[in-house]
Amino acid sequence: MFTQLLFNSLIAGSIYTLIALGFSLIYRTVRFFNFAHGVIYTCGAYAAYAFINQLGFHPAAGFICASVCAGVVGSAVDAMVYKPLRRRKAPYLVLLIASLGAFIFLQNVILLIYSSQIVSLNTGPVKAGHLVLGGAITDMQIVILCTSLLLFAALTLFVRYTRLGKAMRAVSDDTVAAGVVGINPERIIGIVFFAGSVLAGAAGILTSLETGIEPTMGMTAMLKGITAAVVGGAGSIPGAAFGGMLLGCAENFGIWKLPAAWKDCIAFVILVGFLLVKPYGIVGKKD
Amino acid sequence: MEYFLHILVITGIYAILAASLNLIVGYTGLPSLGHAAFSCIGAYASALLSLRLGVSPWLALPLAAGVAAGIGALVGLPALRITGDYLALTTFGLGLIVYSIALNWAELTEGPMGLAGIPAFAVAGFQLSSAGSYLVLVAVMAALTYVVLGRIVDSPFGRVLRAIREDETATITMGKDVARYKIMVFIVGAFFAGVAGSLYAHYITYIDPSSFTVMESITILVITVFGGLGNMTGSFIGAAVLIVFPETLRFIGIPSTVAAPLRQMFYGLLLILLMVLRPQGIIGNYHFK
Amino acid sequence: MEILRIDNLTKHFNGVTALDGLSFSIEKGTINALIGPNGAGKTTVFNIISGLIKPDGGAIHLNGIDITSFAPHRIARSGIGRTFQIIRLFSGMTVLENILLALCNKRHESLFAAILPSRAIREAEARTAEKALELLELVNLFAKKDARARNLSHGQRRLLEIARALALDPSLLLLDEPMAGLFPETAAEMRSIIRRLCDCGKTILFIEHDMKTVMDISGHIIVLNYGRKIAEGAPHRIRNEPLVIEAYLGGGSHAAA
Repeated sequence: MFTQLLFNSLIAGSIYTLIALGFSLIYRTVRFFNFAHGVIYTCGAYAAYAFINQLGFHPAAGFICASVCAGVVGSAVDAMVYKPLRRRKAPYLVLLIASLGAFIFLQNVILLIYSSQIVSLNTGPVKAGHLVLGGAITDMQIVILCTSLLLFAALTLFVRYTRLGKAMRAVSDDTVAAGVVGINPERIIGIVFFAGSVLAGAAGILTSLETGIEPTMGMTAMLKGITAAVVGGAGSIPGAAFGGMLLGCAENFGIWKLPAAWKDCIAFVILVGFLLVKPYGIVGKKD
Repeated sequence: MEYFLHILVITGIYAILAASLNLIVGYTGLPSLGHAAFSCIGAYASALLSLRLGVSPWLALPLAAGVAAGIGALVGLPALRITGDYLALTTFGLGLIVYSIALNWAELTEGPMGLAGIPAFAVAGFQLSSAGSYLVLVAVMAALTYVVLGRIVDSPFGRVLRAIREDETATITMGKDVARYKIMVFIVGAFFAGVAGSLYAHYITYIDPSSFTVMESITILVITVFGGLGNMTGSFIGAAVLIVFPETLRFIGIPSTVAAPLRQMFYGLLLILLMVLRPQGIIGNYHFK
Repeated sequence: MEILRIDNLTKHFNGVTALDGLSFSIEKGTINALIGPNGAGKTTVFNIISGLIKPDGGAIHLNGIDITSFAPHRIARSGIGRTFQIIRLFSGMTVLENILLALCNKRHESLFAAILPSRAIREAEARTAEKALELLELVNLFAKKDARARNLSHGQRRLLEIARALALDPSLLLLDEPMAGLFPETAAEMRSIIRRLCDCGKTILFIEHDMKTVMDISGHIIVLNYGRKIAEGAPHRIRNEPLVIEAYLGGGSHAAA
């Protein structure tokens, strides 16, 4: 039982980590809570559905194309909504509310196109899970774990060691100073939105390897991503992974004792609890 | 005709919700993204009081608003420690918790099944169940809300609220117990949202959690921001425009499976446009800081 | 008679010592200056006295009452008014409203009075408005009473901020750089207002970089450097204090007069 719960925690946690990573990457650069992140996750899932089911792509190719699609939508939202707001130096709260508007808008565009019917990815016949240490784990779940780990490692290395990654850090530390030393902040912000959105899209696709796709899936997913990010300290990359895993464990071990329906509520309570007690997260600090 | 009156009833209820949110967001400057939670509590409390305990709706309404106000005080507590976007996120999360409780505490709320057969208001044996007769009640309540909230914001009490919105630290150094005012604002705002929730429950006579989702909170916010932050009249105009206008979609023959998402797309787009072009709303005098 | 006594005040910010065992006291009805190079901890002293930040150690007594643990709004009500280095007005409100806000007491501002205002409260408000206009006369802002605070000139904003602090009827007034950015004629007006307030029995403690003003109007000067008091006394004594000269010239940020 314990092993099974641990597996479930890791799988859920890795998805939350991916959402939180993108969210944090964006937050640390532009300093506002981008609610539209949730709908990018949904976009990823539906794009994968379009590529794999409707256009007949190979799942791996479909995964890549759909992630890029999500990235493009994220960049478009940034260019059309946030950029004009940044230009007039809008406060963070205005950006947050605009992102909420973008969330609602895009979610309903998806609803219009695909209706509220749940669809699922066509990835071949369902196979029985492997038994490892007394817990079952399916091939799909292994794919989810490995892909998330890969993306997490790639992002960490990218931000830490590449020139572009360092430029991102410079922008997040001080936009004006970055401008002075010759980094174009707008270009970097564009890249950050693309990369963050690719991660959200990937998370959406990985989720749909296991469960159905529906237009409203982004809301709870986003809240969980935000929870993971806030728990780990919004803006921190290792913090996002830590928060994601912690949330995955809290939910899955929580429903050991609680009815499963309360699973989502656990995340919201953790979010509000953290905001009240430690709003800047475990590793984060007030700036 | 009946349908038109129905839309007016709904408009009145949203006007109360938007005006009560305006007190919190527009006048005091506290970002609150979970206002539907208060109307949810008001609706459920009122429905349960009249269904389970046989309390008359006339008594259930103020009691339910009182319960919502009590929860409002609890929700106001975070506003003492947290400000700005973190407060927005916290109230958002609290709205989700209330929704989640309504959905999952099935022993009390019947969960997703909802509560049916909620008794209607009655005057001397006459049931206010038609839209026309209910409109009178809603109009009276909306007018009452307008007068009471209007007096609050124009009074010395309201002056302190605007001062908090402008500069909290300076308000404290003027000897004002800012914490107390913030809690009061959430209590009053939640009270009127509770009134709106109760009015809704006894009108539709059936409630389920899906009427109190995040989307509801956002709809209320759109109306408040559109009408104008820091302007009570604006909230009423906002409700009239934003509730009545999308209904025209139905009249030009668009099926409801298309009209519903179109309406929400419109709200989403409007929220973006307002933030970019006019963050204070059509006749507001404050915008988010 | 002693109105304010500060004992052994200590404050650290993230490991940096802002105040290090600061003690001084202030006599009733006098004008006192708090001076020192940038970063000496002057504004921190103000923030601690007005309760906006809590000290790590030490105590503050106002008229013999320990106010160290009081909430900031209670400190304001106990008789300490203050202004800020960067002016903090309610800029969207009118000049008159700024004053009214400070004048009103708890009873007028209750929720109940807002919903059902009694006649007594309405009358009291009328009296409050009269008092507010008197205060505006004092700082020559009567003509501007209906202007929004944000539309005032810098000097007028400074004056309004002082009038607003005075509306609390404080026994002790803390002014954080009242002369900063003022034209000479407004600065002269400010000096005369400060003197007049002292004549009316108010006690004043102000932070200032303009040495001419400091030497001119204050009866007592406290000099801070690195969170410690390095000198205290009458202007003529401070002027010749070697430690003070060194702190100013050595620090190089602000030359003494």
